[in-house]
Amino acid sequence: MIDLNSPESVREQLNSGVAGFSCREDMRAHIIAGMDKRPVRGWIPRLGAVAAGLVVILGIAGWFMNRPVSISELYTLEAGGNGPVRAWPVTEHEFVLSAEEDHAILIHRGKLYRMMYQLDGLRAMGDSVGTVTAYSENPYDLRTDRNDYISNAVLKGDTVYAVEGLPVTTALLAEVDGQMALFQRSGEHGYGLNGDSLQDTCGVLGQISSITLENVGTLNGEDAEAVMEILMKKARLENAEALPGEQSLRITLKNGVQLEMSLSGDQLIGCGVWDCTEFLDAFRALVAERAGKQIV
Amino acid sequence: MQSDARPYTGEVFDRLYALYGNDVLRTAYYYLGEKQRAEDICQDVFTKLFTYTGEITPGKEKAWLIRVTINACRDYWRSSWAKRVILGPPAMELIPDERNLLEEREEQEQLAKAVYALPAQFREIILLYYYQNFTLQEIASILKISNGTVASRLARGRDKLEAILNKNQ
Repeated sequence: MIDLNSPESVREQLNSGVAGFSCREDMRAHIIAGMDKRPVRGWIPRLGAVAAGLVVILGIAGWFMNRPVSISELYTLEAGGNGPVRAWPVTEHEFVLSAEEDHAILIHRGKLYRMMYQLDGLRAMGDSVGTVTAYSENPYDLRTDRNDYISNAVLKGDTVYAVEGLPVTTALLAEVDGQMALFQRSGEHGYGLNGDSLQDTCGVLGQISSITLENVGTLNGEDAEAVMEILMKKARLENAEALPGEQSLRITLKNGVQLEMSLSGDQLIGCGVWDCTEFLDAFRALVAERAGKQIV
Repeated sequence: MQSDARPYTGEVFDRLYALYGNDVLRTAYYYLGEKQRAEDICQDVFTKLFTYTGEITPGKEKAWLIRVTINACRDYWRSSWAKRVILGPPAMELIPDERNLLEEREEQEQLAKAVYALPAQFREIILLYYYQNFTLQEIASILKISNGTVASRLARGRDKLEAILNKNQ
């Protein structure tokens, strides 16, 4: 039986478990050899190397900055204490994660927003809507009815902004680790709709550029707006508690911001779990129709 | 000339490598669960030491080495998430020596896997506290976070570790 109250015994167990894994002499020799072989360079070749490095870095940075954000690059953050906040990846199926995990969140008057990724916030920044008044590693415990913003990632005193074109009940922006981050409304840790509707928590109508349903396809412009309108009108709330999803539904807005819901079977998961076969049927039919037209 | 600017070469380097090499290597292994990667990180950490031109407070060399190790592990952990997502996380395996009793291995394996299953921020704290025997204050200094944050993460990490162990029993 492992006794966590006895650090010595835990240490002993951990030590014994890897006792056969040791630094080899050739590893040390490799370090020393690598150092000895390192040439001592003058400032001219060094400057050349720096310049060449800069060209490569700028090239790569330019490529990164110009390409569209893909869902696989979305990052969320975990609590960072007083030190630098660390980035952790969010994969397509992890929009709603286990309640046991800690995520970067913002809480405002019983509404929970989960950090999705960092972005160039200026392109989507709306009005300031408040200030973070409490920074806590356990923000879920700081329930309050006051007009406070509480976070485990945004520092106390930092401003929270609306996202241009979206209601504040759908998403917010705030700076995390020196860069603007998108916080999307979510339902976890007992925080649910809190009186809001799907139109409030996913208020994207009129702002959609495209919607991609994983393994099904992408709808653009008016098609995307049309299916989203069906969702808003027909969706029935199944459950306030979030479920893990299997398929992602990525909503790209005209300002470049991306929101995500996920699917488990026929149920859509975002802030709450929604049933809407009409939406899925319409989505699949439109994708098939558009694909057919392209072939002709 | 060069050795004057690099105080951690020669005998000093050899002594620190002999003293703390395994700590660095095994901490990286418990963090990442990859043997080859742990060896690479160990070499990187000691290369940094070899070329370091600053001064490490005497007696704090291990803390310095472990801090560089944790930072290197974090960088790799972050950069390799796609690999973990696509290929799945590496299977944490014990690397016991010959003296290790067979009957003890099951428990050790359970513990190693439970530590590896922790979210990274808790895994770090658990490794530093339980495995490397650092005090809360030393951990705070290594991770550059407050003592309170260390205490809270340690408590939560211990709870999570206990939950994983109970679940797997």
